[in-house]
Amino acid sequence: MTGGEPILIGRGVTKRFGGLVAVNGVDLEVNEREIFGLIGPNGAGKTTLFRLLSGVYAPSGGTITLRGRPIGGRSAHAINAMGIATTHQIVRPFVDMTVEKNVLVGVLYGRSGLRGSAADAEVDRILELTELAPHRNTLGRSLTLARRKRLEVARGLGTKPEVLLLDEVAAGLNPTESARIVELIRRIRDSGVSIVMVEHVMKAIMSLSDRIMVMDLGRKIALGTPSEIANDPAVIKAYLGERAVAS
Amino acid sequence: MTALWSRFSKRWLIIAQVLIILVAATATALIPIFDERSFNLQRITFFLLWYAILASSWNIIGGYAGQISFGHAAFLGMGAYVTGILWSQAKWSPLLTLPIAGLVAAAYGVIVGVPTLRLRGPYFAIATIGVGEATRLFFTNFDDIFGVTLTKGVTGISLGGGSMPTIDPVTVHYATIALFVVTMLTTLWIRGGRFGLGLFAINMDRDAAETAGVPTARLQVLALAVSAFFAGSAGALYAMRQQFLDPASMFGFDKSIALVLMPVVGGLGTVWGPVFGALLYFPVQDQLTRVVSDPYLPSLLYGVLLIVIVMFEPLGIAGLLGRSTKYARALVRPKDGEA
Repeated sequence: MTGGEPILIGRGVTKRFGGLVAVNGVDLEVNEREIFGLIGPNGAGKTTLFRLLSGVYAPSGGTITLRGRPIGGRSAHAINAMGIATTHQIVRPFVDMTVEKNVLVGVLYGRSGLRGSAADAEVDRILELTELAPHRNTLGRSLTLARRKRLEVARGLGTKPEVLLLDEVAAGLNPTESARIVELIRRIRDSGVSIVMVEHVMKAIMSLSDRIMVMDLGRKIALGTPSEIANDPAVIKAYLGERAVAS
Repeated sequence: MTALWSRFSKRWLIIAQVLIILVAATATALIPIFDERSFNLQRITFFLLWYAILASSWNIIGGYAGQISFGHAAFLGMGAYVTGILWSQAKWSPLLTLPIAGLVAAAYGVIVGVPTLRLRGPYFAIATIGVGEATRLFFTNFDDIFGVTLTKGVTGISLGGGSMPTIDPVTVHYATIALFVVTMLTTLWIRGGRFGLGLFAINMDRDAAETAGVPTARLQVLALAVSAFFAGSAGALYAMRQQFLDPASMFGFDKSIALVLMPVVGGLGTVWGPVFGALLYFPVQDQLTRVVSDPYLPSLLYGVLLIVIVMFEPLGIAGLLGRSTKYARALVRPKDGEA
């Protein structure tokens, strides 16, 4: 599953806020068709790294490239045009538009270049994929949280990304809803999109990720498959403290 | 199946609206044919269409993109003065100046829009008040600044006399109808297409629009330029019709307020709301200025009206109609997705 070429590459990525080094010299490679998980205790720097990847922040040091092209210092829509789509942790649907129109915005302004009935067909495909088709005529403001989260993913998918960045997409969902979104993310990966996800819901990230990177205090402390990570002493120490490792 | 049906009915909805525009145009075009001496009727028609053009042009940036401009008279006056100067000084035929007036106003829209449309929240609206007043003062003092005699300051310019080319009022009548048709078809086309969808996305959440790939800065500036083009062209029509221009009546803050009032009264962001607003505003304004001697009383009434509308029916007349019948709702379509 993880056999693809690396497409999103970070080298020595650093972000400083005044005296605070939020992300400190992190190297990472995200492969084609890979689900790449990003975890760490609060304050580890994962949200900052995520914002560097989505182009919200420009790195203070190091480089981030997508297929060899640097992404730093571009506006959000230009990052999107390069092939990186982001979902917001706090969901932000276009509240007075139908679900269908929300996705159409992504399709018409994304990289697909589709117009007219071809764009409508693409919207239909994405609504089926994200199981939002029955709610296509519902206004964004009337959706439940679980459906808003899926709409957030659907709108991002509409832009035809190579890499989809998911910020806490399972947070706040009940176990059933969470399981459905896990299934959805797997289907998206299978359709050929690389996924980087930050997640607090451990069950979701452990069952989904091909590889997981663990951060603590701005540094990368571990990288590996979910089972490798679960047994890594450095990770256990970061999450639970020294004594948990000793015992 | 339902999706197919909704696309089918959407097409009919657009055809119906185009037909309404053409019927209105034909009806008003017949007026001078049936009665050449129908001067008062022609005057009323001119101002109804003129206000409808202005309100619809404002609606593109204010209603669709959600960027409220309190200085739109700047574009109206800019267009009027371009026509006034080319007509009186360069002796151009006034009709030929109309597209130039629109384009100059659109260019001014770009110049104003590039820095101000970056502003968020109420700051664009505040900036436009400054732009409107600065433009008025610029044209008032134009001659003094440049040491020429072009705008004649507060006294204004008289047009159509002396060696200037003349224009027949009936020609102005038809030019107004033509601009009305073009304006309405443009706003209808924007409302239903990719451009309009992007503007509504910006209106609802600019950051989310950016992450969905919408080039928000470029789209907003384009919307302001299109809006300014029609406002400036309407200014050219005013110059041809009234054959007199002065800064107070063209660039006045009361004009800018009228341009906000009409779409809000009629229905912000809808295609027909600004037209409803114009149909209501002109007769009221016309009668008020005759009956009421106090020049400030109308403004007070409009202020109260604005408050009442924003409190009870933010979508104005279009919102009220939208509640009444299925057919009215289909035509007015207050918000996307309310079938």
